[in-house]
Amino acid sequence: MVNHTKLFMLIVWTALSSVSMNIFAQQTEYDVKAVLLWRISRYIEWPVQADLNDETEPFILAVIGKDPFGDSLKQAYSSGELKIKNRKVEIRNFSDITEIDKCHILFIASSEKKRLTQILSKIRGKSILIVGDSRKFGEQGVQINFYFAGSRIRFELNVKSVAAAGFKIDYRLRSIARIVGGGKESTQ
Amino acid sequence: MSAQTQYSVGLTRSRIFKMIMILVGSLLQIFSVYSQDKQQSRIDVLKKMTLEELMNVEVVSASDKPEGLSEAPANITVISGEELRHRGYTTLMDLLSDLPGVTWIGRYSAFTTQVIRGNFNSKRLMLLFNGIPFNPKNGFGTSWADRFPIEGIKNVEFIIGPYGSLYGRNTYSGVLNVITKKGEDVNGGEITALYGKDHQMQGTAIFGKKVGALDIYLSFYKNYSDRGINLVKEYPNYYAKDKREQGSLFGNPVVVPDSVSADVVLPWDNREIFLKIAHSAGLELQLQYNHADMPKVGAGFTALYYVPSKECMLTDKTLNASLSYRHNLNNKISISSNLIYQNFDWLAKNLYLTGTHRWYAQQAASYMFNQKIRWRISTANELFASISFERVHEKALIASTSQKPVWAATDKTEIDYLNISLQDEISLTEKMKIVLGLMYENSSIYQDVLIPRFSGIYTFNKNNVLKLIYSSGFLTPDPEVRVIQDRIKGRTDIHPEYIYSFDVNYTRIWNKNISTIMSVFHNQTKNLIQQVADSTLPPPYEWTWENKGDARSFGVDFTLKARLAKNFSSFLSYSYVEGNINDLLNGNELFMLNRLPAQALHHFKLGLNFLFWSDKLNLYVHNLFVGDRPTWEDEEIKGFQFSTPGHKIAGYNVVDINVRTTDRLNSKCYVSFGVRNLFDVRGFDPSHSNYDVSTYSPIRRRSWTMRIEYIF
Repeated sequence: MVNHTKLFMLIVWTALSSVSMNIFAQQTEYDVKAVLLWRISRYIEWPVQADLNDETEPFILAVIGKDPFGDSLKQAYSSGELKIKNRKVEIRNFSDITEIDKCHILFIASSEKKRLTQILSKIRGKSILIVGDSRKFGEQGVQINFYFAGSRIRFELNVKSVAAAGFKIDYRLRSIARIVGGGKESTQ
Repeated sequence: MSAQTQYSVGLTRSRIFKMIMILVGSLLQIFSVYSQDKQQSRIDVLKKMTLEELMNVEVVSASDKPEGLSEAPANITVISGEELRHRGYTTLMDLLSDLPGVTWIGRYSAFTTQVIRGNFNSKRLMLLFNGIPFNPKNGFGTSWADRFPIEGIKNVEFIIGPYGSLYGRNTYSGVLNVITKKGEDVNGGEITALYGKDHQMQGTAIFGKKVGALDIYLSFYKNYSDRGINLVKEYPNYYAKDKREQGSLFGNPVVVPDSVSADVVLPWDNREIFLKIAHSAGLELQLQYNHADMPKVGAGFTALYYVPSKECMLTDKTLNASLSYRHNLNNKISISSNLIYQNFDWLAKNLYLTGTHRWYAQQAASYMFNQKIRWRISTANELFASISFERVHEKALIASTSQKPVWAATDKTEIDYLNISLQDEISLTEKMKIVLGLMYENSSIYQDVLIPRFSGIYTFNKNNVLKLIYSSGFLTPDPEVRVIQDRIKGRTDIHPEYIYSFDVNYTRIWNKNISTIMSVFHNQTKNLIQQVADSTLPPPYEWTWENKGDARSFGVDFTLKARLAKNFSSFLSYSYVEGNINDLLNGNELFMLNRLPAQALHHFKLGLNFLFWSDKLNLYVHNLFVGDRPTWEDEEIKGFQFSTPGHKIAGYNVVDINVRTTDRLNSKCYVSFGVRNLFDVRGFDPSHSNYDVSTYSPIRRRSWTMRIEYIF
């Protein structure tokens, strides 16, 4: 037993001796979310009005509010390797509701909580996929809302809002989402 | 090998191990300076992941958390695909060894089984593949953990504790759900070859691709190991060369049959057809049809055949076929109907040194209709109900004849089951959720079963979650026990074996690098049925079964996960298991010795995962140590070869060290080298000529493996 205790302490020493090293940089939340946007978009069909036929035009991914992504979106999409609907992705930032222009995905930052209703009203009827990551955004009409389950990212899917905007959601995406909202959704 | 020699070798092993650890510590310090944090490389890694894998990546949170740390009303551990790759596991057995509360015994014989919180026996674990049950009902002989290529696994979910109220009978110690890859996950090919000591040979080839909507997955798998069992060498005075083949089936090399499988997902309008054809020294065919708009009709067929060896043989055939229909009546209510047929055929023959043959045979055919309903009463309340009718035709025998025995009318039993379960999940507040469950089973063979379930989850804040879990399960008596039930000592009726578990689970994230999970549990077992020797009975029934009554076990599981540096993550888990369950299970001394690792009071597991040389190499060190069982006194193991007067067994120790290249060195080809040092303390008394030496012998092993993966 004595020998094993020593061995065990030795192992613990081995572990603790490395504490002086830099703090580990885990996969950061927004690196994962940046790539998730691309993955998720593969399971979504935009309505015809989105006019995504011309593959020479960029696919516009916009963020409104205080951008939480940092360099993550740029790092993920700048090389052109990740395409959405076979188009290169262009990143835009809107600081105000009035700046909201043509885009295909709009990420609403948590800084826009108070203006959420106004933003949703402004883009109602447009073929824009609305994404967020704030509490109760999903229930209020944000179509895809990221949340945490433990240290892993999950997302809510507001089926009513998705159906109203004319998006078709693959059942595989729906099967892993937490469904919020109501109404009968359209499926691919 | 003399006992004295064994002891001195133990000291040498300690020195070597110390040196290895010092070396590892030095490496950690030296190479850490080369590590760099590059966001781009992290994103490049993420780009290669599937949607499911991305959702399994552990991340540092900075945003609001509508959910607590875990939504699951259970004590659940998830091993992600990333962890599977980094840790260099070669079989499912390796993976399970890292889970808190799980210990393997008999790792170096064909008789391998896991022990979960003191509960022994493979069949007490509900094993699911993609949610579909796969339990070899015999519980020994078949080493299912070696049957599946680790490369084909996407991730694994492990729930510790009995969840019979949800998963049905024989969900006793826990649930293991293995999620396998699809073609889209592989997106290309992967060829793996492994060679190691003890003639370990493993070969896997996997091809997968999604072309448009068409998903194709192909796999080929071969695994062989004699597990280093050489009875002649280890026991020259006991085993002559010509007796090499005359052990029991447990002493023979493990030969897992060749396995070939092909999965194709065919798109058809809004529907999907899943076709699986597999050959595993037999045939496995699975056909599934999914409709995109929720109603689902599926059919599955699987068959497995386990190869015989020369004098000792074991065959295991299973067949599963199911037809199901699922439909969403509206946004609140969904129903599913399932027709399930299962056939199970197990046959084993032993040839003992005395020249005696012994046959064990079990067959079962099951027909089941199951109806489920899920009703979302409100956003805060969801009800689940299930009702099943099942008829099982079962046969079992034990015979000592040189020829294969034939079934007699007395070997057969017909059993009817009616099973009803209810579960209600209620969110009382934003922070508090409860799950109430009840399962009732009526059978024609034993008394009615009524088992409850209660889980309460309280989320203090985004970093603290407390779970109170009361769950229960039951184990149906072994068919062999039922058929010869009149031999059960002291009683003629049979009851299921129950387990009631209370688990208090607290998870805390201390900061972005450190998290802890702690469980305090108490298990109460009722009607513990144990096989016991009885020399008064005529052969081949020299043993019988005894209802040992009630037993209990209790203890603590604690896991610390820490990222101590930018390229260094680790976990440390400690389990303490106490109670009289082991004492009651130890009906005879041979069983006791074989279960020695599982009997320990203390179980330590340490995993160190370190990236060095600018993240080009991944080092994973795993140490399992169990020890300090008061009953391990030498007088109880007197007569066994390793026993020295006055010497107490200290414990059981396994160290695995695995070094693997990463995609920073080469994104196509990965090379890994693993070393394992195992001291498996077991004993054997040569005077027990009817027992197999290899299973009960002291085995100290050092082994190594070399593995090459090529990804394209």
